[in-house]
Amino acid sequence: MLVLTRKSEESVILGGNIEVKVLSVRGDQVSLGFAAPNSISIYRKEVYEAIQEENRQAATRGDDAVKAIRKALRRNGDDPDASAEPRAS
Amino acid sequence: MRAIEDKTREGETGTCHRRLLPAINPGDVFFFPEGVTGFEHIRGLSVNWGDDTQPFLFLKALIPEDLTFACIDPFLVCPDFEPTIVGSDLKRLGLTHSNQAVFLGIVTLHEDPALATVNLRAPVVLNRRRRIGRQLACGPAIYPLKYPIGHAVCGAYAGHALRKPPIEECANCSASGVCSFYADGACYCDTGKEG
Repeated sequence: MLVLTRKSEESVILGGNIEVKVLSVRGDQVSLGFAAPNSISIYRKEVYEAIQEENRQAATRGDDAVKAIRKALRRNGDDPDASAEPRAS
Repeated sequence: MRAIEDKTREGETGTCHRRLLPAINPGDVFFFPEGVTGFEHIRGLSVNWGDDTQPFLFLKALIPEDLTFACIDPFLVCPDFEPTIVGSDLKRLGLTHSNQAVFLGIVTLHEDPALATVNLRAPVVLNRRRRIGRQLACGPAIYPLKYPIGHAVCGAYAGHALRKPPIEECANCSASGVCSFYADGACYCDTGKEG
């Protein structure tokens, strides 16, 4: 990891077009400002990792998801042999 | 009571279908400039669904991996869902107004289908006209990563629900025998009563 030391009001530039600025330092809290192209998403790390982990748990392969859902929808029908009727929208 | 039950089945079902399905054609491919969180390399995903798996949809990666995310309309699961789309998020999607956005909640399935959950914290947001998609943490932060869906889809699709809802908690629904939406301790039936 690259380590730089900055004071309030000082900045770092990444990739030529992303700026991270130290806005203020109060006790152990640092307020950071970000200027970046809209195409770049910026997350607090713990939020990013939580969403990433949830996606990992949600991701399925092949038609596992379709099969699991068909099975779940059939299981709770009153008639186990009835197929789900499509509803008119 | 009969009237409420019918309206619940037809009206509520109609609402959720109008919200999502007519806006997208099955098989439509969307470009995700940053994939979804943790899968940033997956740039092309198609949205599909079948009659026998409604109300679920499937977000399927084209390349490079064989990946599918089961999804559901978050407003079906949580009728009060109010995602916050800020200006920079609109720009990221090429939208001019947040009411042009289409939302999909990624579903985490479970061996016990009643324990399936939907990610309301970070839904997939689509620009259906330009076929662009992103996963955005559009909060508020109170919406969880794991919002239970087991009960919520029951009323509108009674007969092929994931689990029969606990209707005894709403006086209106327990009388009619069906609960329109029941999630997180609240009943969203037509009378607007809280369960």
